[in-house]
Amino acid sequence: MNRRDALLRVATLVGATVSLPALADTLEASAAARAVSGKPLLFTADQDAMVAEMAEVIIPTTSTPGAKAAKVNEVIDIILKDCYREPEQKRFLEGLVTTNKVSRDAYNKTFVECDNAQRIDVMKKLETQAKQERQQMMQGPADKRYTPFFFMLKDLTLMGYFTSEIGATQALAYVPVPGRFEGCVPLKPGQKAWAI
Amino acid sequence: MNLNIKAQQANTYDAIVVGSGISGGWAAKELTQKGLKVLLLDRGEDIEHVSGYKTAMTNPWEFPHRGRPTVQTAEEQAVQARTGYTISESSAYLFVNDKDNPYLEDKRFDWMRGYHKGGRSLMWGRQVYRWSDLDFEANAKEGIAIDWPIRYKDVQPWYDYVERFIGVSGAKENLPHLPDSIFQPAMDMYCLEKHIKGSVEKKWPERRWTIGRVAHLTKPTAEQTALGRASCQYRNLCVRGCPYGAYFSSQAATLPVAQKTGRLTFRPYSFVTSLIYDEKKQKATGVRVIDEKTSQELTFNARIIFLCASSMASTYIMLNSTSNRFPNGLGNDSGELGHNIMDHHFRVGASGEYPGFEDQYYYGRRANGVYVPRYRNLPGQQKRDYLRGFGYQGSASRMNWGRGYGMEGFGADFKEQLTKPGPWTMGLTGFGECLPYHENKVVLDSSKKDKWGQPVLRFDAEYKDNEMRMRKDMGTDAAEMLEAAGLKNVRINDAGSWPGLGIHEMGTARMGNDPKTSVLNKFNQVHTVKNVFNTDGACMTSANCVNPSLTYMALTARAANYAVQEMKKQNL
Repeated sequence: MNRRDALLRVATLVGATVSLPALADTLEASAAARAVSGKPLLFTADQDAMVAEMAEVIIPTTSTPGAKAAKVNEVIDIILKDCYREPEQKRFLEGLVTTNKVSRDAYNKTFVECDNAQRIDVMKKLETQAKQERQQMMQGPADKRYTPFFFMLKDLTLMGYFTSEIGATQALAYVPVPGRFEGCVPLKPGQKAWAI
Repeated sequence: MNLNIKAQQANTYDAIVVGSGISGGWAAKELTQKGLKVLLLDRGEDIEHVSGYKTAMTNPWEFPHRGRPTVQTAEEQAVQARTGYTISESSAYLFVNDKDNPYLEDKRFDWMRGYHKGGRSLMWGRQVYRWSDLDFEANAKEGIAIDWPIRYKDVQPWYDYVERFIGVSGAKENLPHLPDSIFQPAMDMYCLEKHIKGSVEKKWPERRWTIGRVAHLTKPTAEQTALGRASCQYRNLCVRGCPYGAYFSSQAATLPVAQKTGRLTFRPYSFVTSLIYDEKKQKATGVRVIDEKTSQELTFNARIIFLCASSMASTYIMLNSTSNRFPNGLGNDSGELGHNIMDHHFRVGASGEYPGFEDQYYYGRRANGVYVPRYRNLPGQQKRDYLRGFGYQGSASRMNWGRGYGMEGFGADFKEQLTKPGPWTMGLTGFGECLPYHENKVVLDSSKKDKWGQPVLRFDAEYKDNEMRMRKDMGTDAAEMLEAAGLKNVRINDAGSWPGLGIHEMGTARMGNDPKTSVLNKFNQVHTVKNVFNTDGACMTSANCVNPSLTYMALTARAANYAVQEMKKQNL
């Protein structure tokens, strides 16, 4: 069987496999709920919109679409709800409150009301604060350490974006079935990194 | 009366095979091909080849949590999570729910299990290496535990037989202590691996760098193609099950052959709790089963029984099979049943970055690494301050977007940088041999019951001084090889290793010549219950440092051949 035959065979055999009802019970319960209701699960509508804008500052639209287009806020909402425990969820939501406080102190506006340059400035302030927070924690006991809000947001944004369809197939290069392996291939000018 | 006889006949087979993983699949294939009517029991669900691999074709963005385990999964699979990768959203469904499958730990023991058709043949690491007489003779030469009752010449034809069927990709090295397999074409190395290989082999000729030997098809035979198996597609999503049948699994290879004979009956959700021993016949007449769907207790009868449930599960069944003749477990006159637990200790090695090859990249995702076969304590070499040795598995890669987690900043330049390949890195992890210690053991504990009211296993095993001394070499040798090849920021990593975590647990029903000190004879036959065979990892008398599954397969095929010969001679 050559590669093409193998692919055809898989296409026919797998076709019926990834049926939505089966997955909805397990993997996709939260995603399905959000898709059906159109509403965020953990966030309020305002928080959801704010996370979308903050993620866009971290991964903006350049020659390829950014975090907002990739709907990174939706993934962050679902992951925070299902994969994090209450203390971390609380820390994230409090981080959003702090963000608006920083933007009000500097510009007398909420983060979402700020223009792009102001948003970048607010995020830089948050990054500086988070670094200080982390340094202080490193001097304290290990069991009291946690990930400050800015780093939580940044990590979730990177993960949410580069594993999204836009991130994987436009910002990066995604080949679902490579079919062969070559260990040494000259890198072409401007070539993007493989998504996985 | 008449009805009972009929019922008994309906549940009677020539052979019962317990467990459908790597060993059980082989037992089922061999026994059915040799004309036996076989009942294959597995305690888990029936996962169909291809259609049963729920996540095999799922794109990264189709996972709602992008692969991260949910809090619920992390709680339900807290033990399985100890590996760090098993409960990813793509593979969690193939590993057991720990709440439903409890065990006790006097000392930490990481028991990684998959209860379903195919067992861990679906999630295994697929690395396959032959043993040599360096390994089979080690116990006898060093006065450790007991001697193996077999040598390389006994297993060599069965390695050949198994490899022709499963398909092994690798490169010939002509090393006496790591015999070559029958190879399909080797996979390629990355530029950086080729560079390190050159530097290391020049400085230390005994430290051979070879491509991993892996049970993947790279040039399928006609027999493999006829089974619907195709060449590796280099997706590196193997743990989800391979829809191409490119790597060896029970589903892709052994079970379809057994099925085609028309003599295989597969029964899922069948938890074998014990064997039925007949004192007059001095044989096991069958197995007791709890049907996990109906909670019904059933019995099935056969002339021979192959225990291939995985090392600890087969040992459990034997310990739980008590009778007047065997108050401490079936075939346990020696008292060794449950003792001598071994695994490979690992998670120690080194990694570093290479400042170069920026203009070189790769195509495809190689589901394999490089391998550095054992080079310590070989014949004629100066002895180290420990016995036996270790091998390395490792891989080069170019850092991906994940490096952004540790980088400062954000925004347009940050994003553009992460869309380019990062620096080359190389990581090496040692896999070390663990000696068989009698006191490393597992027992049955009735103080805790599982949901079927059955006792659970209680583990008491640890790595000792020999393993700990070996780990020092495993770290420093890896670092010095990477430094010799010009890598920077080389770090020795020792993340700690606990028995079980290597998922190569073995040794609890060991083979030996003397029934007083071993459970199985040289054909994996219980010394004192001749119609019961155990051919999974429990049979191992020492551990070697290489991945063990290939040897389980060879021993299973060999034992099945012997069993059928003995049946024909009316000895069974």
